[in-house]
Amino acid sequence: MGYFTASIKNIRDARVGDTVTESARPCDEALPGYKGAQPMVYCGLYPSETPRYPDLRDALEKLQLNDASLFFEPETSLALGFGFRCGFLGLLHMEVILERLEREYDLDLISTAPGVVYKVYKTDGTMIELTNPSNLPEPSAILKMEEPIVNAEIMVTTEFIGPIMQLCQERRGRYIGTDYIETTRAVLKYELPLNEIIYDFFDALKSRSRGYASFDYELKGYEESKLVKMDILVNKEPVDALSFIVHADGAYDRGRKMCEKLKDEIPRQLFDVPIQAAVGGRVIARETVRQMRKDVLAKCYGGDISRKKKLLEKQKEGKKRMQTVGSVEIPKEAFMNVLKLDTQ
Amino acid sequence: MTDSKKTEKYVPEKECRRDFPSGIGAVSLYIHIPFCLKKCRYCDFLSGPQTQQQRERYVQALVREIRGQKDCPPGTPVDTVFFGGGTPSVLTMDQIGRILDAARENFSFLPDAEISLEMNPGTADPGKLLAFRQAGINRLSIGVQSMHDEELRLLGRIHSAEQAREAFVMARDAGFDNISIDLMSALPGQTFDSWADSLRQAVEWKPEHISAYSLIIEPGTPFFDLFEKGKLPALPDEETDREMYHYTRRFLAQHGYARYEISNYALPGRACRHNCGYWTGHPYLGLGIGAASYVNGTRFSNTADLEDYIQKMAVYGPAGQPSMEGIRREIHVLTRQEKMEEFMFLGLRMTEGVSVADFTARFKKTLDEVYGDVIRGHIAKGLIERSEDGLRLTERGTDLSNYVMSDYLM
Repeated sequence: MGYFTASIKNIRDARVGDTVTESARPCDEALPGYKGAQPMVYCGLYPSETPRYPDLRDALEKLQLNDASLFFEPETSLALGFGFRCGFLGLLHMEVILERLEREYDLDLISTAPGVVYKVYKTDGTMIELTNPSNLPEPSAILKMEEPIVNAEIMVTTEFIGPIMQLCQERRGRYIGTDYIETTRAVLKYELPLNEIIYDFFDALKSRSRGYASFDYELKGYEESKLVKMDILVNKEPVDALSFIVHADGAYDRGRKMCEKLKDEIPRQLFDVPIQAAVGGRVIARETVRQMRKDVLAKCYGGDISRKKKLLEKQKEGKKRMQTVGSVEIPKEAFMNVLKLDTQ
Repeated sequence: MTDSKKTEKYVPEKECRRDFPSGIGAVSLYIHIPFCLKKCRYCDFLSGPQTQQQRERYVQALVREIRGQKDCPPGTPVDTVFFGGGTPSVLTMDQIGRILDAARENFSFLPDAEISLEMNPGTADPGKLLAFRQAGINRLSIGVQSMHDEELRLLGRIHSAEQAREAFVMARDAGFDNISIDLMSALPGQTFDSWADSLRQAVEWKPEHISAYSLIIEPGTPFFDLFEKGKLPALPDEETDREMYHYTRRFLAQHGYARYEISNYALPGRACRHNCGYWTGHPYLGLGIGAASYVNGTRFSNTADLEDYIQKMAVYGPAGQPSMEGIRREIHVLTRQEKMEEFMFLGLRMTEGVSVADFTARFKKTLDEVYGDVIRGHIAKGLIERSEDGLRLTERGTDLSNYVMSDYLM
């Protein structure tokens, strides 16, 4: 333990695990044993008010100071503006960071659906590690895709073994075995795709075991999988913040749910707004937000202009909270509500 | 629909726009009478049944307010008077007469002043109507609401359709040559045909003016509670509601009634001047409880509490006048920007819209300098259109007028 002074002006220039050496007589290699932690879960983080982007950057830098495993880089979204793509060790890590950003730094955040790191092998022989669905190459340029698989252990009381096994099956789990610890408790072992876990798996686990199941996992490795990118189109325009990678078999279900939720979240516009879920240009689900037909104050009583003005002011406030995507006005909360992981 | 293209294309008339700002310094008077025989189930206005004694005390207080008010100097010209409620026609002829006399003494009524009074058909009486006419009331607004008894019962009205017709005839007999009737659309359980029939019967009576409002179910009314509990028949859906509204305009236009404001229709020269004043920045003084005023660039309203009002009007200042202390509420002097906003969102309620020249004359800035982007956006979306000398809402813009108007707030 000790102190040293150096000309380090930026938090980003010094990370936990770095080896410090003198410029006059540098050492040949870094001290062994320190490895950068590899983030496994990624999501986009955006300030709900655009001017607070620098505050978000400062906050992330400060958090990174004592948490080298937190990764972030700037990204822009047509729908959400300026933000960061952030990498976390796992879901718990992500939740802790989000919580700290909101509580300790008083930030109001919009986070996109969490995703994992996919390995995309391209036809030109190269491989990219994909953390943002928007960067997925054209289908014709993709040879194959791999997704991370985890070894999962679920400890559960025996009465809930049935429902939990069913859940794992639904999430493309591969059954490995069951260890009985005692007559009423067992450990279920499964191989599960990580991207199935980060989508509301915990909530489902809790609700199907009345809270009795506990869950642990570690990365096993990458496996080839039939993955597709799902685009959500609002008024025929893709909304980048809502794109996600999903297994082909589950695409229809997820797409339909997203459309249904968006339909409830997008207020009526001056025209009919189609909401579509599409995989590779093929629309697999559709809802329509019907156009606004009537918004008029029939009677304005006895010259009470103030009352009318208050009504208009309220309406004006509502418009301010809207994000314009193409020609559609979407309240910022809508993104959150649609992306929120729920048990539905 | 058999409407010809000709009636579809409607050119608004110029009759209703006022000079902006009012050149001669005339003011309108709004007089609130918060009494009725029985409160209707949809009504969220300031009114209720009261004893004869309370009414008399209120009339006395009102007369004191007219004499004691200092917002308009003595002799200020008055171009319109409107007795609203409630049901002003529950007052006796003597009471209406005393209020008008006090107003005449303290203001200077212009020779062609429009003096309107709202009447519930259930309070019609030939002697009273004659007396109202003789007292100087020259325009009557009759709350007919519907030509169908089952709809009237549901609304909690105290009269039948037949009684309304009789009241209308009585008013004509008493010499009223400028009568408006109120009708309500979008009622629970109302069909398009039922609405069309109410309109058809209404034009047969040949009133000079028709106000056609679509019902708004306001929180705090018995109607709202019933609606929340699902105890009202279904409301017409939005589609039907708009069909009713658009049909109203076409049908009334065929019968000579032009729409001059979102919910108001009139024969040529019969638009309600008082009503138009609200939308064109004309000053008005509100008298009585809850009454709103706009004078000297200032908006305010009176206390809404009947007892509070009566007690405060009984307090006299050193000059022997009512002190008026604590009567005025929510006093707000409009800024230049607020005046611009109002010019737009009120002016656009008028079918003929707002005048570019008026705006420039008033604010020394062109409309485009202030609202260029908003206007271009609205035109592109088909919500407003350019008229010969200004801007007005399109049909679509009228349907969505709140959406449009809120964009003119800065």
